[in-house]
Amino acid sequence: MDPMELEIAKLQREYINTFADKEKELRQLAGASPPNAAVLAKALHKIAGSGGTYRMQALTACCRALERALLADRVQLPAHGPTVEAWFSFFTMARTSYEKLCAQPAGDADAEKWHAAVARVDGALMQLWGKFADSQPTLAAAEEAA
Amino acid sequence: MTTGAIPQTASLRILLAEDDASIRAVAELSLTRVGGHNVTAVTDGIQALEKLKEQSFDLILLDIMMPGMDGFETCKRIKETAATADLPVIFLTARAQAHEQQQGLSLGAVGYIIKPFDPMTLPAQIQEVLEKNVDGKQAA
Repeated sequence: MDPMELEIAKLQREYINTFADKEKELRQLAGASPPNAAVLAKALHKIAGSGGTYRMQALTACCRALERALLADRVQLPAHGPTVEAWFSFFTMARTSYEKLCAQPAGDADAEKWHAAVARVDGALMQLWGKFADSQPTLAAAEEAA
Repeated sequence: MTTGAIPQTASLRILLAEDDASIRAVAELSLTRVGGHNVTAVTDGIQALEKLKEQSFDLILLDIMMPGMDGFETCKRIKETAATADLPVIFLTARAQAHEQQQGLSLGAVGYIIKPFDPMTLPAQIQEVLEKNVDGKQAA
């Protein structure tokens, strides 16, 4: 396997290990009083930029959708609490799906399997995200407007 | 300090300003291992300006949304300083809206690379932006 792919696999594991803290931060920002949509949007913006770079497109898709919805005022805090909570349920499910990948062996010989597993999980999450976004009109509208 | 010239297909001295550690790590890996470039990474615009006083670079990659001093302000200051005014600046950003791209270009940046990016092709994307900029200058 290309040595670069081995390095990327290592970085992907490190990246996944930051997800729990990222979710904690996002939840704190979403629940802040008074609400500050711009700060939450910034945090989502960062994850939207890094997720796909780490070949986790589902992270980019879901974070970008909520970021755009917040910036366009289509989702307002706390008025759209149920939409945000539903979004978090998707994010948690995605996070745990990626985290389960880290249970696999981390040796160089397993890098090919690792990349295949990341692609498989991400592909499945993208499909689920598509269905989820369709069920959330405020998120879908923001995507269309962007 | 800068040399001003852009060595084509050569190893570049790149200053990367990016506050997100995960993006910094993968961009550094890509630029050094795939691109064969020399990378100095900093976490915000103020550090970038300080580093520019100390070292020579061929190119600067700037995130836009950084704490302290954002990428737009950093680019503006780079272009206002005689020693760095000719240094090519490329924004590496998840901001993709047209008016934001226009804002960066009006400040003197030579182009944008949108995050997420593919670490295997980031150096090629940079080369493409630089070549387009050279072609544009020649055509003008």
